[in-house]
Amino acid sequence: MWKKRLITAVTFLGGIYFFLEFVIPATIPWQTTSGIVLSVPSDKKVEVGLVSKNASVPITEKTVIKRKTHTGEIEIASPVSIHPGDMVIIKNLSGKESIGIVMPQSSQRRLILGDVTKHKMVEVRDNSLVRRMRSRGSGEVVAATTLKASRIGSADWVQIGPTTYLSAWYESVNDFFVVLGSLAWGMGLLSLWLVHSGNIRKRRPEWYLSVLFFAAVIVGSVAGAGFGAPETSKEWTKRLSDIVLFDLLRPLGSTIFSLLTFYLASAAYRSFKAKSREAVLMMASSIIVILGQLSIHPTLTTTSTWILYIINSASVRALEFGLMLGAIAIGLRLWLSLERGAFFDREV
Amino acid sequence: MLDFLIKLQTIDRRWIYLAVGLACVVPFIVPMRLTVRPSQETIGVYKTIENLPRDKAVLIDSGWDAGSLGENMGQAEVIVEHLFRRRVPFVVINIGGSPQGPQFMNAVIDKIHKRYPDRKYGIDWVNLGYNQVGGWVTMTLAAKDLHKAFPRDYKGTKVNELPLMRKTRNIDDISLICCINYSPSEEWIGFIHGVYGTPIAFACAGIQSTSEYRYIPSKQLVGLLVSARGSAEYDVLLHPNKSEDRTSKGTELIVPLTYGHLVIIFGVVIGNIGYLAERRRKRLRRWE
Amino acid sequence: MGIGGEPTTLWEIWLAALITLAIYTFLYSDNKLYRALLNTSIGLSVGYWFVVGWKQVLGPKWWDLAWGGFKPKIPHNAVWVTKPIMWIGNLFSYIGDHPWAFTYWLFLGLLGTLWYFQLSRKYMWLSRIVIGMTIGMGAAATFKGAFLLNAPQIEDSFRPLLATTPDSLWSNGAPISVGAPINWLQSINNIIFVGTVVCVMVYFFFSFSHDRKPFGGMAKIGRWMLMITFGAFFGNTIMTRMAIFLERVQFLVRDWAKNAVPNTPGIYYAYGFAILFVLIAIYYILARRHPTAPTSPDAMNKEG
Repeated sequence: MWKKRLITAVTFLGGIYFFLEFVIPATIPWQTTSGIVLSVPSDKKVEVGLVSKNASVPITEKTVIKRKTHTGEIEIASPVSIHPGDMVIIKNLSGKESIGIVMPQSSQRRLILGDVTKHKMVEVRDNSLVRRMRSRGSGEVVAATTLKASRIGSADWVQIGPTTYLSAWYESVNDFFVVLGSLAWGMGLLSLWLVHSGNIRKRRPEWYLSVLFFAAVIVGSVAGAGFGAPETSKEWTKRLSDIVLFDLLRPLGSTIFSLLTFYLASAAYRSFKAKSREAVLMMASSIIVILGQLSIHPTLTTTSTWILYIINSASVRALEFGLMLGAIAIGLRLWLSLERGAFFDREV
Repeated sequence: MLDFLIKLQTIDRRWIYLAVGLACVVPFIVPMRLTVRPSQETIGVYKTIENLPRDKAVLIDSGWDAGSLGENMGQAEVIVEHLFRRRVPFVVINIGGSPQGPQFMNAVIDKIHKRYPDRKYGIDWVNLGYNQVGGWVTMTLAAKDLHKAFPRDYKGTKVNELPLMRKTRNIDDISLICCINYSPSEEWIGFIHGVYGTPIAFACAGIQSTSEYRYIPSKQLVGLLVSARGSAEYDVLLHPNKSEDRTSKGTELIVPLTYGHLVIIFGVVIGNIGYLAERRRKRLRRWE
Repeated sequence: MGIGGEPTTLWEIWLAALITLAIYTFLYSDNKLYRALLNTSIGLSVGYWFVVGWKQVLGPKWWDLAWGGFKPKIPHNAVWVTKPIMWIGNLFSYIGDHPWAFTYWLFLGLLGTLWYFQLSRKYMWLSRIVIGMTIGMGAAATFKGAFLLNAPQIEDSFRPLLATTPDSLWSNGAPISVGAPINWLQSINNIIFVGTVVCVMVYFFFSFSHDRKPFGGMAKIGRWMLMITFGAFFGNTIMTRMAIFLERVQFLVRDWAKNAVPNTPGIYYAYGFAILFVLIAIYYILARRHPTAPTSPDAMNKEG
């Protein structure tokens, strides 16, 4: 019983950091100031302009967006280059002009604009995190002195507040699990060794193939020593590594992979039969997409593009949404050790 | 007649292998040309590169190797040629892809460089080699400080000694990210485009492309180069008038690719003719 | 080595060509030569990437963190008996100077060895500790990635069902506003798009029975849309597989057949060699022993 509890506890601890890092914001929300940078008097003080929403403007590729730079000059800007904090002048489809500061809630199809209503001098303490918001509400941690400030034009949008310390550890924790997973790297070789040594010991049919396997492992391991050497190196390990990689593994791997072409062809011939409506749909769609992508006829190409951009995109999106919900559900069940099944119910 | 049609669905698979093999081999022996019409997704990449400013660099994440050479090599050739032609500098990196990626990319650049001999390494392009850590962690580090993620180029030279790298320090100095890989990492879209808004283009294998189309309408990708046909289409855009200048791998493979596909479609059609004939025979017997 | 690592010397070209042709004999029938090459390929890959895995990940991220700075100072003129003792002394003083690095290395190393208890029946439960940790980490880490990637996709899926002048036929168009004309083609596209998303999601939603009227119909439409999508998947899959095959064909025709046979102009001689080789292989397969049954699935279908 205690073994199962230990495994449950360890499973929970393994995921607790990532879960907290996702759920808890990078800074304490009620002590965080968010707005555009008006000035940076020193590396410990930032004057932030608090912005209130005044307009919501839809954007198409035909929308003309003018941006006021931080020096006050006007330039034409593409929708892709707009960041939170930019001061923009937009003429919408009915000719009405909207002026304002782009807020982080904006997307590439709709800009949320606002005006500065208040000023606030924010102190940057040792435990403070300064995050520059580039787009879509996601931010990067920067030093206060690198912020772009302006009172008359575009500036950086910033969030300053006491850090929750979680995001600072992400790289280290990630590295820990990468190494932990990599330490299983001997398992594959060990399993294969057990199987092939058994074949040789018991003289099973074609046991000489297992001998060949072990010889290949030795050659491959020695060749691996030459991996990463500079291209101009004259070492024999580098030469062996090149021979193994380019003269052996490459033709072997590519050719074995290329056999799939033939299997696909014979599988298509045998199993692509018009047995039901769905099968006919699938067959017709594959033929249209194949012919359309090969520029046989413009109508086929247009139809193929339509299938790929409308039907295929929509279906794959729906699949991904379902996968996302399923991944979150299964993720929670695994993390909290609520999952049942042959592996999880096995006696420990 | 019905018996003959029914037999069409019982052809030995080895004849099909032979047909596919011949359809793919003959175009290499007998030169043929095919009209290639560029698709929307390829035009998207072309237009983006065509309108890039020359004062910022393009970041190319190239992680392909021999396994996807048939698809990715042509894509790399056309992108590098376009960047060389427009004199837009580019930085080649490899985050978590194949360790041989930099070597394969060098070979492509060397080939295209012969057409543009005045382009100089260190000024017009740089190859920063391979970072084995991979994943969004390295991508985010490269976006914040490219010099920290790649302190030296693939030859071992410190990046500060390269003129191009002195003015390319972080994501603000990058105008476009091109990912050329069998399966480009979607973490570029989530962690880089999602945070910084930098435009991203993918050049991927055909099998992966079907999942990547959904990013184009939502403008997370500016365009997509799909397999060998993507590079053949791009070649047409680069050389609209002179077909003899189209020398990318995609252009070399598009004709045998077409015939191979046609053979497979023919196989599907005759298999269905046989199946329908068998169904008709069963129906006739039931009436009898 | 040539472009992209392609072989350029004669023996390299012939080796690659023979390997390629030998593997293609499998298309006729399963044979010993193919199985031998398969085992060689697996052995080489496993051995090569085993060493590279250490060089790329475990070395720099685990071993070097603890021992990268360990350089024992042993005088050349020391008595040979004392050298191991001095080495151990250096080791302990290094550990004393870097306690946290050593602790991290040891802790991670011990945890990593738990993977290998998978092979023991009595102590297999120890391996479930690291499996549990990795599962917990992976499960929690999916939340962030899932939201970051899919949030813009969800937003883009809310398209205007009555759209005005589009940017291009393949984008979403803008919602209608006063004075702007309705573009019916764009609107139909958007309706089909949104309808497909909803229907496919309903198809995968099993909390309600699909026998109920609105759900049944929507699930059916969702299934049809999925079939169209899988057809598109299949089309692109063929392109990928064929590109890999064409790359090998290009090597055989351009690099081997044309260039690899010295002092014999024309490609006919090289093809003659290839045909001879294939005939020898077929003779070996058919005449030397009883041919083995083809092992690909469609052969079983044929017999069935």
